[in-house]
Order: sequence, then C-alpha cells, then structure tokens
Amino acid sequence: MTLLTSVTVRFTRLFPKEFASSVNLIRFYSDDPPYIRIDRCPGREQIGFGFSGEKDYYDRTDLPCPAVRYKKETPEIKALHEKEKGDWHKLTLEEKKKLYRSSFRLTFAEIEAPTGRYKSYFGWAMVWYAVALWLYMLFYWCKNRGLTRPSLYYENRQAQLQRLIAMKYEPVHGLSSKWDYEKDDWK
Amino acid sequence: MVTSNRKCSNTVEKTNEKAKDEARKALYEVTSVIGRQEYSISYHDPKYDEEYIKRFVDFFNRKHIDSWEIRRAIHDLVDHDSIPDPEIVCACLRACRRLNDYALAIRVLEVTKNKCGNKVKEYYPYILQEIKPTLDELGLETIEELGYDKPELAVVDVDDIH
Repeated sequence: MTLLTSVTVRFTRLFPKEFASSVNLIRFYSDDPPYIRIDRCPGREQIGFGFSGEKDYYDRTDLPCPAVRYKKETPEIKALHEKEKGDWHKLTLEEKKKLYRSSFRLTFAEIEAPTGRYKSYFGWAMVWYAVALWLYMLFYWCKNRGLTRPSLYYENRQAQLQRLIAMKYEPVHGLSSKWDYEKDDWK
Repeated sequence: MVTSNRKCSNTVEKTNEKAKDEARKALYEVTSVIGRQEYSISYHDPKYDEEYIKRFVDFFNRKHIDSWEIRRAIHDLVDHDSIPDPEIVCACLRACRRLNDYALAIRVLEVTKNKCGNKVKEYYPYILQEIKPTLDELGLETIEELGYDKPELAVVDVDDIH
C-alpha cells in the first residue's frame, strides 16, 4: 500500500494543480495522501456517465456516448451551439458536420473501418512458425547425430567386447574371469 | 438415467426396474411438457414487445430529460440484443431536439444502423421509411446524406503514434 501511494504521489506531482479535476478524500490510512484524479480532458464539460463515470473520451460502437465532447469549447463552437438551439433546418451541411465533429472524433463507419492490422499479425505468426520449425529440425538433427556414432551399433560393441576379452581385461573378478579361453566361450 | 452392469440380487433388480419405470414416466412427462411449453427461446411474446417499446418511449418523452439520462438510455438500448423500434428512435430524436444536441441525434441514427448488424439491407430501409417524417420535421439528415455511411477521415491509430 505504501508503495502504491508513493507511486500516485510521484505521478500527481508531475502534473500542475490545474489538471486535477477532483480530489478524493477517502483514504486507506489516515496518513495516506489524498487521491487526486487527473483531468485528462481539460476545458470540456462532462455531459454524461460515459464508460465508467470518469471524465474521458473514447470511440466505441457498443458505448456510443462518451462522457465529454471531443473538442474544447472554442468561441466558434460556442456560437455554433447557440445556433443549434434554433431551427435545425437553418443549419448548413458544413455546420452540421462541424457540430458532429465537435462532439465525436470518429463516425461509426470510421471506427469499424478495416485497419489492415491482420497482415502484421499473420506475418508475426508465420515468423514464429518458422522459428518452431527450425528448432524442430535442429533437435531432430541432434537426435540422429547420436546414432551415427560407431560405438552405439551392436556389431561394434560386440567387437569391443571381444577385444576386451582378448586383452584379458579384469582377469580375477571381472569380465575375463568369466571367459573360458580353452573352449572360447563363456564359463 | 443411471444403469449398472453389476450383478445384484433379485429384489434389488425388481426395485431397479421400478425405479427405471418411474424414471421413464418422469422423462415422458418432461418431454411432453417441453413439447407443450409456451416460453421457449423461439417463442415471441408481442406483449413483451409493447411493454419494451413503451418503456423506452416513455423515458425519452419525459419533459425534463437530462443529457446524462438520455445517454444512459441510449447505452441501455445498445445493450439489448434487438434492433430499436422506429417509435423508440423517433422519441429519442425528439429528446435530442429538446436538448439541442444535433450530434447526438446523428449518433442515434448511426446506432440504429449499427444494431441492424448483418441484416442492414432488410431492416434499415424500413426503419428509415418509418422515421422519415420526424427527420424532415426536425431538420435532420440521414447518415447517407451526411456521407457518414463510409469513412470520411482517416485517423492515425492511438497505438501507432508513439
């Protein structure tokens, strides 16, 4: 908790006081600093609940009404809003479009327009497939390389044994003690 | 139904058969009930529709509707798995007129088109035809007349800026 609060304090110190929209006085401990909510949309009036009650703008088709208007209230837009209070027949098409764009950043058609992101996703997927295939080939090669060693084949191991017997390897208790040299067979 | 291949005594077998009979009867009743039931998923109650439409229309027709309330109601409308009825759309547009919010009215039209989903060609012309009088009355354009049915501006994605 102390770490969290210290992070928030540092974070809030980065911003000047004007950006703090509200100060939440509810604290976990009495000596915690107050949680300062940063106004990310300065100069805009909150006109709705929006996504989570925060004063925030976003473009989403499933929640079409964000909490604030997109553009700041400049004198030009204020004049337009005044004109909007009258008859809408008298507004020109340009003014209507400006009104829309002052409230919203994107239309639904623009939100849902294809971005072409899928190409990069496909490309990266293929890259990792390639990496996996190369790794598979590497391991396959390592595995088969072990079997190419001559000392792993049955005949060669038999020859090794024969040579050990011919050298009389461990004649008292070991290998050669169990070999009968007169019969040329195991005892 | 639970069946077991384990051998058991005569009496147990008899009781088992009884239980099986009962279970069969119960199953039969259940299936017959399902066959006659009135409230299935595919069953459509016109009464419910009327109530649903009336609830929204009444809400939008309130005299002192607030910009917060209308947005909340639109979000509520979007949450439902249904295409908004022309009556609801008209009431909502009138509420927008009372609140002097042209942009929100256009957004409502966009929402109705978006809610048609894959069946835009089937339902959207009908809705347009129904709401056309109110559009003319309030001085609203359809989204096709504004040119918002196709992307107008291209914006850099937020994730690509930095």
